[in-house]
Amino acid sequence: MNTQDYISSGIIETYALGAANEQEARELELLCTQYPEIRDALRAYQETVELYANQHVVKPPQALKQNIWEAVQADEKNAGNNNNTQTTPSTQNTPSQISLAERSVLRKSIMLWKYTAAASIALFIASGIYNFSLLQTNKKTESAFVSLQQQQQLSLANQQRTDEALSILMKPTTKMVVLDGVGSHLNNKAMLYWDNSNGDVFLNLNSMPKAPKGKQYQLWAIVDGKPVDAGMYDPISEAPIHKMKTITRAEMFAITIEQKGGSASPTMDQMVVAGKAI
Amino acid sequence: MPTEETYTETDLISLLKNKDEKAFNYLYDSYSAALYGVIIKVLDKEDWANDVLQEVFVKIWRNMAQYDTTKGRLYTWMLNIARNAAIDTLRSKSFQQEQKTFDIDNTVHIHDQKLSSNTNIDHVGVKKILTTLKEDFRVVIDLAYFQGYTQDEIAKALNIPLGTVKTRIRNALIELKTIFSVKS
Repeated sequence: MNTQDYISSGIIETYALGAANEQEARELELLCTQYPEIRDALRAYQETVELYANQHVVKPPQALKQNIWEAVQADEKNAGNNNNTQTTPSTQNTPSQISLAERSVLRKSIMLWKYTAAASIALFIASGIYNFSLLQTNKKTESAFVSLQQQQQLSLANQQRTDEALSILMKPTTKMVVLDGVGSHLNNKAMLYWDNSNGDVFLNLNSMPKAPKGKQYQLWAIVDGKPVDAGMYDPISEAPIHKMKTITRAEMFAITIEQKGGSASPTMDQMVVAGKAI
Repeated sequence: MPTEETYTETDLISLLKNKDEKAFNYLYDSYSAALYGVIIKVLDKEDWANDVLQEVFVKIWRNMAQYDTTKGRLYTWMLNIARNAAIDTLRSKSFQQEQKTFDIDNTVHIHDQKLSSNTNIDHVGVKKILTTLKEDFRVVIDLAYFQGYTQDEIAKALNIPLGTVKTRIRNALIELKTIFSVKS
């Protein structure tokens, strides 16, 4: 690099007067570290500018010195607490972006800042606790909501089954067959609904005791004097009536207690209820 | 005046790093008038200049420990802090707001004041040097140094090409240098 050309370009003088742009300034500062002659030229012009500045010397008002000493000490205390966040002013002649007025407001509000910071932290902790309790409440509400939702689904399903049952019972072709207790089961009563137009058979054993363990109620249709399997009573849902096998023709219906899964022919001494179909 | 210092700059720097009142007194007595002069020249308002001078000393004091001699002379460093702080204030909203309201009914008066404050400075040397310096040169130096204009702003303000600004600044400083060397 031809340093003489650079030195006579006017950049150094412009920089010394604080009028260089940022790029030129950075370049010059870098060149000063590499070329002593450039650094010396800069120092010489800086000195000239200083001498020029000295031509304007004005003694500040007498009282100012004490004020400034106090301000300096106060700032030092503050800086001790504030963990020096200030950066070193560069030797570059560019005024900073923050105005003095703004900085002085900043300085005056340092105490305010401290209180604000303390208050913010307290608020933050309080809000954290509050948030946590909100979260807990929220969780509870959510689980309550889920269980309500499940209940609603259940009752909707129930409603649907009841509606279905009702529509079956109200069909003009549906007959109600009462099955009365037999033998030692006189107290038992079963309700059977039969649509012999399509063979649909529905059973309600709600007033009967639960079948003994390992046993099941089995429905029989007596067709032409012979028992025909009409299905196992296997109430999975809480529907009011349960569909059995299709029976289009029958003189009678009867229910026996059989081994789980049912039998091919009824165990006659285990008959609990029976009733005429017509 | 820094030229009368009894300490060398290196001695002064190590003294200042002690940060005691003695160090402050020395710093203040040696430099306050030079720094205040620059600030007054930029702002032309005593109350504002007082605030800025305080700000400047606080800043110098605070950053003394980080001051690096390889980056330039202490005096240059301090002058830059003072000049930058003054120009920041000059450009601040609150300062300009005050100027505006002041200007409305004191337009004539303020100019009188400016003239008188310049002539009041008890430095015969100022006028002498300012008269020996070519008017064109004085204008670019003052715009750059005391008004904080960038070279582009100077080019616009004087309606001259950017290249001319650089040349003029260079010639101005060369002339100043000559004036000072002749003087001393």
